[in-house]
Amino acid sequence: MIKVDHLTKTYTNGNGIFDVSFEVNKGEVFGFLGPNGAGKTTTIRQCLGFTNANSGSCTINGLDSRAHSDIIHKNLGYLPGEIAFFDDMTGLQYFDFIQALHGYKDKTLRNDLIKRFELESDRKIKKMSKGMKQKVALISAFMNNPDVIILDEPTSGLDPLMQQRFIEFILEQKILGKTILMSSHMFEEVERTCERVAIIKEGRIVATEKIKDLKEKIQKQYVVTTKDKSSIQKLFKSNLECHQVNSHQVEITLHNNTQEMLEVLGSCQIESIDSIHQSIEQIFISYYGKGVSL
Amino acid sequence: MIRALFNYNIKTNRVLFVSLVLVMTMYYSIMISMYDPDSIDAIQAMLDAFPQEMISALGFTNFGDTLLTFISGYIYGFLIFLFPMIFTIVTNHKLIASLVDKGSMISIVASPHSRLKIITTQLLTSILMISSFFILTTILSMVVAELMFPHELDISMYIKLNLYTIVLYLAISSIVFFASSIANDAKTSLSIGVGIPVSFLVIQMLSGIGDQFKWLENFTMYTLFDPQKMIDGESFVNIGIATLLLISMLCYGASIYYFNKRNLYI
Repeated sequence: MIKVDHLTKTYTNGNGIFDVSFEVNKGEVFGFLGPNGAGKTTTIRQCLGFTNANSGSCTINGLDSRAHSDIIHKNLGYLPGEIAFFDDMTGLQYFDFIQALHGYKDKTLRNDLIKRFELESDRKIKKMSKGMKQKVALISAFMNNPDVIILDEPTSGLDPLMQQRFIEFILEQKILGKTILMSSHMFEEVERTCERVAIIKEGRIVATEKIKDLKEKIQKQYVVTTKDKSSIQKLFKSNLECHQVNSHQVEITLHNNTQEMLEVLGSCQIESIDSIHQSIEQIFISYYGKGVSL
Repeated sequence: MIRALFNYNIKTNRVLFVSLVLVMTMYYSIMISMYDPDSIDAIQAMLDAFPQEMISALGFTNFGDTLLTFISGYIYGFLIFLFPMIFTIVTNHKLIASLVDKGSMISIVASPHSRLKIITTQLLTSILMISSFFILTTILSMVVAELMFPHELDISMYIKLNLYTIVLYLAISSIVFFASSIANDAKTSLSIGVGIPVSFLVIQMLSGIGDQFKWLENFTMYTLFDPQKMIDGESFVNIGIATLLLISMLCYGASIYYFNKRNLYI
C-alpha cells in the first residue's frame, strides 16, 4: 500500500534520509519510530509529495507520491508534524475549508470526531492551545473517511485521557481495515497500536520489526525501594541483575524472569516498585545489547 | 481553478482591496476637484515655487490644459506607484509565500489537487485582483469626474490610459508573484517582491531629477509606462505595452514552472 523504496533526500547541511526502505501493507497500522531529528518528517513529506527525492521513490497504491499526489490525496488523510493552520479561522471554518478542498460533503464522521475528542470547534484556531490544535489536525485527517492515513507524531500535545482515546480510535480504524503510517518518538504509543515498526536513526532505517518480537527482546527495568538494608542484600544475593541507585533503591533489569523477581521481592520488605519509562534510545540499546550505541 | 481556494483568496484580501480602492478614489476625487481650466497656471506657479528637481522626481511635470492631462500628470506620474503597489505586493505575497512561510500551504497541497492547479488558481486570483482594482478605480474616478465636470474628460483616452496602467501592473505583479512562488520564507519573498519594484521606482525618480541623471531611465521598467506619450499618440507606447506584457508572461510562466518543480519544506 505505502512503499518507500531506497529513498534518499539530503539537505544542504548534510542531514537528511539515506536509502530508507519500508513497506506498509493494506490494513496495517505501521509505526515509524525515531528520536527527534532522525528523519521521520523528511520521509513523511516525501510520502505526501511535498519534496523531490535525490533518489529512490515513495509509492502509494502503486502511484508515485510526487507525480500523482492529486490522485493519491483523494483517499489520504494527513496529520502534519508541525501544526500550522489558517489562524483566523475557527475550527469549523477550517473543517469546512478542507472539506470544500477535498470535495467531501458528508459531515457525520466529522461531527462524531468533534464529540469524541471534545473539541470546542467554534473557537478561533489562534486562540487554541497546542492540544486543541492537535485535535483539529487529528479530526481533519480522518473526517473525509480516507483509506490511507499518514500521521506525524499524532499525540503530541494531547493529555493522557485524549491519548488513550486516540489509541482506542486507531484500534477501531484498524478493524475497519484502514492503512495507517504513524510516526512517533514514544514507544508506548506505537506498542499499543501497531503491528510492525521501522526504527530510524540519523536518517537510516536501523530495524524493521514486529512489535511482538521487539517487545520480547526489550528488557524491563524496575526501581525497587526497600524498607531496610537487609532486603537490598537479599536482592544482590539473588540471580537478578541488580544495580544500586542509592542506599534504599535498586534498579532491576529483567531477562524474561519476572516470576523470579516477584519471588525474591516477596521475601523482601518493599516500600514501592516503579517501572522505568524507556526512551527509544534505551529500547534500542536493550534491543541490540549494551555494546551497540545509537 | 480550485473554487474553495479562490474563495479563500478573495476572503483574505477583500479588506485591503476595498480600503485601497476607496483611498485611491478619494485621491482621484481630491485631485479632480482641484481641476480648474482657468487656474492651471496658478497651480503651475505654485509648483514652480518648489525646487524643480523635487517636482520632476515626483513626476509632476506636465498638467496640460485638459482634465485628462491634469489627472494623468497628477496621478499617473507618481501616485499610481503608491497605493496600487502596496496592494500588489501584499496580495501576491499572501497568495503563496505567506502560506508556505506559515505552513498553511500544507493543507492545500495535501488536498486532492495538483500543484499546477494550485498555482494556476493563485495566478488567476492575482491577475483578477490587480485588474479589478484598476477597473473599479477607473469607473469610480470617471463617475467623480463626470459629476464634477460633465463632459470634460476624454473618456476613451482615459480608459486606454487605464488599460495601459493594468498592463504595467501585470508586469509588476508578475515579478512579485514570482518572488512569492519561489520563496521558502516570508523574508525572501518580500525582499525580492518589494526590492525590485521599489528599486525601479527609486531609479525612475532619480532619472527625473535632471538631465545628468536621465540615462538612469534605461534601468527602470517604469520607463515603458509613459502616459504623456500615450496621450500624444506616440508609437513608443506600443513597444512599452508589448514589453510589459512579455515581462508578465515570462514571470508568471516561470512562477508556474518553479512552483511545480520545487521542494516545499512545510
